[in-house]
Amino acid sequence: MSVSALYVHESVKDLPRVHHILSKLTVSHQIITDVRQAYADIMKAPDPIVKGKSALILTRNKGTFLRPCPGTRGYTCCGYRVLRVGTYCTMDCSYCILQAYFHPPILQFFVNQEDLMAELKSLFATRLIQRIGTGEFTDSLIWDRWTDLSRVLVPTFSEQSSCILELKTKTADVSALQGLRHNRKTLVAWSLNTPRVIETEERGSADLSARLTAAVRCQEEGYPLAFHFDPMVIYEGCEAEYAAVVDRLFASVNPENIVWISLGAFRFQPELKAIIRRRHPHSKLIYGEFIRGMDGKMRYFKPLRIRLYREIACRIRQKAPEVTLYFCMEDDEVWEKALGRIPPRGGGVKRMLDEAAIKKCGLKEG
Amino acid sequence: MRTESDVPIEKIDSGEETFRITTCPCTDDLTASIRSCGLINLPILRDRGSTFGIISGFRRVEACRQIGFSRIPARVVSRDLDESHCIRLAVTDNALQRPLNPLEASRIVTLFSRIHPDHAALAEASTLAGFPLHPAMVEKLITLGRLPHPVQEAVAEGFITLPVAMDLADLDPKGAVALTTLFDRLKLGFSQQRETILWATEVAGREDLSIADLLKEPALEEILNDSQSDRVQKSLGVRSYLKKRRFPYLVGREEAFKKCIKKLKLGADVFLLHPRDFEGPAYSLTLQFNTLEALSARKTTVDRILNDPDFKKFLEQ
Repeated sequence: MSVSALYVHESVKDLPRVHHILSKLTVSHQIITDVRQAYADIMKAPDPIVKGKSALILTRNKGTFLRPCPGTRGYTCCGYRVLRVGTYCTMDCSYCILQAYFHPPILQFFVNQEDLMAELKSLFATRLIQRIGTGEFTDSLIWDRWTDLSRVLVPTFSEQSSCILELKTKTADVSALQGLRHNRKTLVAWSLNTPRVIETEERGSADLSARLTAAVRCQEEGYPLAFHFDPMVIYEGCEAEYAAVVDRLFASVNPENIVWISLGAFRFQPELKAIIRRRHPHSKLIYGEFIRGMDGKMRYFKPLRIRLYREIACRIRQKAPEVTLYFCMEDDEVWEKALGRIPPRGGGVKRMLDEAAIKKCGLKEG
Repeated sequence: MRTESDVPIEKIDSGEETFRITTCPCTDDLTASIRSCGLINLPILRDRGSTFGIISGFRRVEACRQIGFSRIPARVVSRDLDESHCIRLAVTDNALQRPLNPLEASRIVTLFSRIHPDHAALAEASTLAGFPLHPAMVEKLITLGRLPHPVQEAVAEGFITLPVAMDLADLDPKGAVALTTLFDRLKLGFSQQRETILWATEVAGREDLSIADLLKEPALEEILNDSQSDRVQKSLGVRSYLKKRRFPYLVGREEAFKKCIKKLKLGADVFLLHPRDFEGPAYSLTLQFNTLEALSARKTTVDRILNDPDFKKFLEQ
């Protein structure tokens, strides 16, 4: 999706970085003194959620760039850190929480990179093992067509050895990553799903073949890889289709180069249901057998999650016995029944993933 | 300008219902009152030349017809009186007489929407006319006015609330009517209605069925036509059927758990509960006792739970 409305906050209008971004965009921009001016334009649209996907604000991040992943109560978290480079996404996945998360939803790119770099420098100075991702509030790679984000972040991470940057995406354009000095301190991760789910629920994203081809290109560039089967959708025949995705994955990439694979069944805040029904009336996603989880989110009935996880984990294990496999936000029962082990309390998942990063990416603490 | 006149009743066109707000039919009480005291509040009519249209007083005119009056006293306004003035007269006359039901409120909103497209202005005009209205209610009342008649009537009769009507407004009209008929038949309460709408909508959505067709399925017909069941049992049967259809695995697990509990014969002092929707981390066991002997007896029950192969299997699934 191309940018059709462009706003520049008055406080950043003279930054060279802003001029560089503007030179990449053909649409004329409007200087604003308050982001609410842009919000007001968005809210006039019949579907502000769609409008916000083509409206971009270049502004300053007034808060911190680095934040702990919000996690969720009652389920095991992996101790991830989020690097907030921007917000929202150009793709239109039916299940995306960002539809309900931002009010109003709009693309924002934070141009005060000096502040971001200062935060990273402080973090690197601690020399503690950290896993950091930019794909929590946006897709990591959508910004590269307009900005120098990856061209700045990847070499920056390459110059230290305690932190790994994870770029998570559903796109296939990895050209910005080519030729960058990465020193295996950036891993490129794809969200994977069945072709059926990609076609029906992940509007505007790259298809599975394109994602895997892009992963191969990154592998050839020496980047470590990760994959996230998340959100997994339960439907009749889904086990066989997810197993086929696993087969295609391992037919494409070398398991030795995979740092981790996560599994996570679709879960959502209850308020997202009405948005999905209104904006994606043909989607059957919300008709799954959902119950209210311990964190208030809607989740598939646990035995159904376990059944799917068990089958797909087994398939992954057949193909790559050594790969680090984990669940995003599941409890001990699910770990035990689907993977046959429970991560130790007090940061077991975090340690497991840190060790995977140490082993595959050469991270060092201290 | 309004003048009081004696109007020949056959010249009053009761079929013209532009300004009709009331949903109540003419009642014997009203007829008896007019017989006894005459018309205390005069209907307001609009002079249309050879006939008169009714602005307010539809029930009063009907009562007078039933009594057999040939002429009735009325306030008559000029045919040139603008529409907004007529609407204000209709609203004020109705709103100040009695509490209005949601459908009558909807008619008021529909009338005002002819002259005030903006919701805030509409709410203000209604408030000034004696029917206080919050702008947030306007859209809902307009929606209510577009619902199929059986649903509107159910709202007017009070067995469907406005929030339920709004849920029904999201459905296809046949589905909304089919559910309304079901609610009337089973006299379901507010939360039961909403639950039924949700389950029926989601089953139909998942299975590419219309709600009307879902509600006509033989299994449901059988429950509804079972001459051995009373209304409460039928209501329970319909909701259980829909829940099972919507959540087959969850209901299956609940049933399996109940079966285990029944087999374990826990007695009245031991309670074994599963986590809500089997999602939480732990089952809970409560033992009630007042002496050590009683506690010792509970221990036997606990041992029975521990050694039951079916319960073990259930937990491992």
